Amino acid sequence: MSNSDSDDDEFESADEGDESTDESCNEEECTSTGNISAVQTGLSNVKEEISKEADEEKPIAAPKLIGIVDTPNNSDIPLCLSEEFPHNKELQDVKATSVEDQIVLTHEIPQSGSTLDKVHLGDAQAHQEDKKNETTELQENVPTNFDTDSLPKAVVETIPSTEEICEDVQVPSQIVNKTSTTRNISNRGKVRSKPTLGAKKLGAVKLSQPPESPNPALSKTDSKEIYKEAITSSAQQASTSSNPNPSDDGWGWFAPPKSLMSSVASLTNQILSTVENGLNIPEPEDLAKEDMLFADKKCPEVEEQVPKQPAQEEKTAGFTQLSLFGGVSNITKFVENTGSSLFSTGLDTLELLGKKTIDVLQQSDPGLKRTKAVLANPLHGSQDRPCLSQILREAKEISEVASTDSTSATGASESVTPKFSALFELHNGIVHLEALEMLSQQCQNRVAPQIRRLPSQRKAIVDEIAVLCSRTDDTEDNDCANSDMLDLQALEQNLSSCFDRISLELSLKKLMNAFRDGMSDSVEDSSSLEVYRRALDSLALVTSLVVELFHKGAELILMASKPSNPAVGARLEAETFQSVTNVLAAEISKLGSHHANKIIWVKDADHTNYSTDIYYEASNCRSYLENALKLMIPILQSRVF
Amino acid sequence: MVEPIFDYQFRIIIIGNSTVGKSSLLKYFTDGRFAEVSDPTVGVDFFARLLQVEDGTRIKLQLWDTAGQERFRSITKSYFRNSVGVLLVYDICCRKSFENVPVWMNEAKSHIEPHRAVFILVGCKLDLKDQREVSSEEAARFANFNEMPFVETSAKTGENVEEAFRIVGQEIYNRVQLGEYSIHDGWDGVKAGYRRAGRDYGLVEAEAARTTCC
Repeated sequence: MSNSDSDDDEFESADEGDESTDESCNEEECTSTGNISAVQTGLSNVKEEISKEADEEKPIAAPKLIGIVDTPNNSDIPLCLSEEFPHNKELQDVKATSVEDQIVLTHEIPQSGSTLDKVHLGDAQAHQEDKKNETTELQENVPTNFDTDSLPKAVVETIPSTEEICEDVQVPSQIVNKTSTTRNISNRGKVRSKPTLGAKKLGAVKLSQPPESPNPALSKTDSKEIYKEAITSSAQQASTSSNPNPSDDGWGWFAPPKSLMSSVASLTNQILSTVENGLNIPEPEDLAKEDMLFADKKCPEVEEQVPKQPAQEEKTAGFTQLSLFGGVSNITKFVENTGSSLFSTGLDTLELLGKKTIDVLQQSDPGLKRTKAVLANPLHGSQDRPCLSQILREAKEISEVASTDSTSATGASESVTPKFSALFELHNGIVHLEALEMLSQQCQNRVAPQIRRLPSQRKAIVDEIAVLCSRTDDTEDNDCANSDMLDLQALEQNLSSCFDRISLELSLKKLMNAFRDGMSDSVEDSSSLEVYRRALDSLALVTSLVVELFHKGAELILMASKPSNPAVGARLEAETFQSVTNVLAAEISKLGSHHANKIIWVKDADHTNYSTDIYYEASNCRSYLENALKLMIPILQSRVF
Repeated sequence: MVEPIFDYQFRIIIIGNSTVGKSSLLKYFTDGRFAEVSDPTVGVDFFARLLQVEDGTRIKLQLWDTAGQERFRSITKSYFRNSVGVLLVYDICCRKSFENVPVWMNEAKSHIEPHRAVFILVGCKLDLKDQREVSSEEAARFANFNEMPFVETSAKTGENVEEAFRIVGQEIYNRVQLGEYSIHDGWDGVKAGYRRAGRDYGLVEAEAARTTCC
């Protein structure tokens, strides 16, 4: 974790504060026990989930499994898919990929220990009793519905040995090898996982390898492969189901998406080239292609088909796969849970992870030529091939040195690419956020011990405030989307009426001026870099002022006299701040679009890259606002008492 | 407007009765001009300026301008923690503001504990000498007794404004050099700035370095 921890700066601690807030609200009774109780509830939640899913999904999962195990030639699922989707072949690819990755996943989850037994033990220890219950449930459920013989024995056994699990894993691998395309894909997996083999050998292995042997290769998958997978798959964006996570480097398998969001927020000083615009980013299939070129030139269709996968199909395939596993044994149930929780963390997490990786790599290696060469070239000598984590670390060090060097060399020169976070700091955004955090922390310390003594009605309000402030509504964008132009007058009226409602005297002058300046068109003959710099500056200024507004609002709320009806008043305040956040986030994104459009008119080669960055930063501003809103929670809650 | 390079950031808090001229002092120090009209501060405002100490080290002073009004007292208390320097400000034309200085000082000390901050006594509105209610000698005695430096300033003429902040910055820097203050997590009084290549701080960099990427 050291990697991400040290860099998260202010927001890490901010987030921690938030989490403790949430915990204290969700389980008022246990606040004093703090983390332990949180973990316990977490565990019990997991338990519930497991048993729930066991109940719900067994009947669905099992029939598919029977179909596959009993009649391997009966292309039950492909048929069904071909009815649903037009591109049958593509779908099989998708499926195969996810199968492949899923297998990798099965093996990679127990990073702490290398064998599946360990997971199982850990799992068993954690949910010892629950496991027993579940198993009995399984034994009861399954036979009543289906023919017991057709099920693998693993279902009946509580703790299957590693070999048995390997057998389980083979079931999907047979599906993988049904078509030639899928075989190619699974072989691609082998190629990757065995970088030691020369090109010729690989070809041979490819042709001769029997279909049921991916296991040895898979079990040998090491972190290198996983990292590579991370690049490829997250660049693909859509491939949620294949979530190879570099957990051994502590990038956080189970990191909640928020903390990732905020870590990315603190990352904004770098210019993130998004995957969509594709500039300088190696296409996922490029990496694959280079492997394939060396390995075997006979399978070009794979690379062409992979990128076409639509997200929806990918998801469907992934779920099918998961259900297959779900029928097999408890351990796969565990995997399934992990898998579905990964789904829920969603595309964003993966996308950001990928962006981050690419970004760090790119800093020292524009175009990623060197990285690509190092990663993809089997002739490079596989023994001393560096793993991606090492490359990332080196890239970071180099870029740090380079950036400090260039800054000190050029001083305050204009040629330095502007960074959002630096501008945000310059406009005192960070320090307002820090001050707000101090207030929030103090309120939290004061409020937390009192919550348990509250009557349940007020306790509900406290919870409601926390919920209101931790959830902002992206859809509000759509309401305003029909008017793409910023209507400053309407905005000002809207905001001031909001604050009047909760009798807060907040001056909107500075904020409105900042918006006005940002919207004023003055596209003289300036370079795209200059326009870009001004766009970032305008976004940073507006965001800083909004954070300042929140900070001032918090101060005034803390000083204000008690409302006549504390519960109603506090909820109204929370609602107001939530809607103000939504409104302002929408306006900031409009401001971002305005700048992004402006930059397109500048005749300069870089504009695509810059305008994408502006869109990215504008959306990133939202997370700053959301952070500020979350810090408001204890402050608003303190009003209930 | 690229982020200027600095080696350290010191967080300094400015306290004192309302209308003694805290914000004006800061505005002069950061903008170099006197603001004729000044709205009362709400809660806390922020200013920042770079300062070069004797050995050429560049210091960013992050200045927390607190509201002097009584009604904000409970809020401003929250901000003392994490400060490494304190400007105790009074109005030389207002006896009451000087008499309140010990109150401010004790409040600051108790909230900054367990850390020890650098204090300085600053008399404002030196340009209004003829309306003086607090003599220099009396203020100097108080400062002496409490072992802190003392200056009288005018945000209108700019007299001694620079001096007041330079004294605080230098003293904090000296203490950093002596190892009395260290950069560590959970305390924002002193932070390391953006690194300059080839410089050795004599401090633990792993904790201090604020990197620009993740």
